Amino acid sequence: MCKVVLATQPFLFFNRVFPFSTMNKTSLWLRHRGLILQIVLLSAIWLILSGKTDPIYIFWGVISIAFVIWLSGKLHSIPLSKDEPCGSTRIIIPRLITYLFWLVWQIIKSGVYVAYLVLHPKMPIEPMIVRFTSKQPNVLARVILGNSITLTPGTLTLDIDDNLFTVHALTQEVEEELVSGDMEARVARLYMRECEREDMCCDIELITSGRGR
Amino acid sequence: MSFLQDALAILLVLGGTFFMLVGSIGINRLPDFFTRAHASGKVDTLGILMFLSGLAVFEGFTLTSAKLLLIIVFVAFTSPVAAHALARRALLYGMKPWYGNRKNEG
Amino acid sequence: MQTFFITIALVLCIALLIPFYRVYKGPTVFDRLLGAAAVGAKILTLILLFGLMFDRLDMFIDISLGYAILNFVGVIAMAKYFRSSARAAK
Repeated sequence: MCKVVLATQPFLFFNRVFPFSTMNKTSLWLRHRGLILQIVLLSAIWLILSGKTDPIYIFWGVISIAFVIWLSGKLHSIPLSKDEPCGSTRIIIPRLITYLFWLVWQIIKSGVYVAYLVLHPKMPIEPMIVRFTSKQPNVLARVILGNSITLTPGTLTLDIDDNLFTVHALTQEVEEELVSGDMEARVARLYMRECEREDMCCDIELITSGRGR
Repeated sequence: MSFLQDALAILLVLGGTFFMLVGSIGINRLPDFFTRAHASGKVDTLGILMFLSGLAVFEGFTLTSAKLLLIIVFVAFTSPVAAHALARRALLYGMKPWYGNRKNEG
Repeated sequence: MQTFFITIALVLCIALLIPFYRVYKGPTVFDRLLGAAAVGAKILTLILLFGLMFDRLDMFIDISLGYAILNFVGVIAMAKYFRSSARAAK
């Protein structure tokens, strides 16, 4: 899929120069990918929730899908923070799928880990607050990273302010794993072709006692 | 096949119940709000996900299990967001986290 | 199978009652909210279990979908509310 995207770059340029050219099958996909995915997802949700295939239900479904897409099209022009529009870069879909599988594995691991900590008779927890800066490519990547930090073992996102993440970690090992930058690089790779894991997590600050703040 | 399906469903439902029980215990046992948010946001999420997937396996390929899948996806995305929203509000409200009984604390 | 489900429902009821202690006792209001959210999560699964017991899962599933959405929106609305009250206190 990535190779396909790379290979069709000249076609995209070609299409921009000649908008009515005939070879726009792939570039139609590239340009309106978000819209097509939205239509497919919304119709799947409508079909699952209604569960009927009569023409009248399909008719109302088409009308409501069109209404929702019109509304969310308006939503895209609203800046999320500091005039940054949402979704300026394209997500790489195959990486998103592998990332989702990795996330499911992380959910299982984190549930088992915290359950072990809770059921341990001495409860070996050393809570601390970690602050670090992670330069994610856009706003949506920050949201994904915040949500995945909460789902990975022993860490909970407290605050995201621009690039500064404030994270509550339960134990020392968990904090070391977070600071290694593995997950940050994973999230950034959803949008960028390549990135180094050392760049993604810098300016680390640990708060381990009440006097720090 | 049906036996295998039932066995898998029972296993998932039992696991989900166990994790939800542990989540409830954790909410009572952990020392401060932020650590309790861990228990609520992770252990409970895993419990609900296992329980619902167990029910979906029990149902088989029907419209009901598709709806169950929808609820699973919804819970998986919103439960950490709820825990995060509460924890962020508590931090901005000025709540101090509990840092444990460290040896170097003086 | 029926007895298995009834046993599971009993265990879930116990898991539902434990966070009520936190709702009653909780030192801060956020602890109470967290306990209430945990109770809501268990009620979601109990609804589905009752649907399976009464063999009307197709009806109960829509209720539980609505319940999941209401639980989430309730917690988010509460968090929003406390932001405004904290600002008013400053």
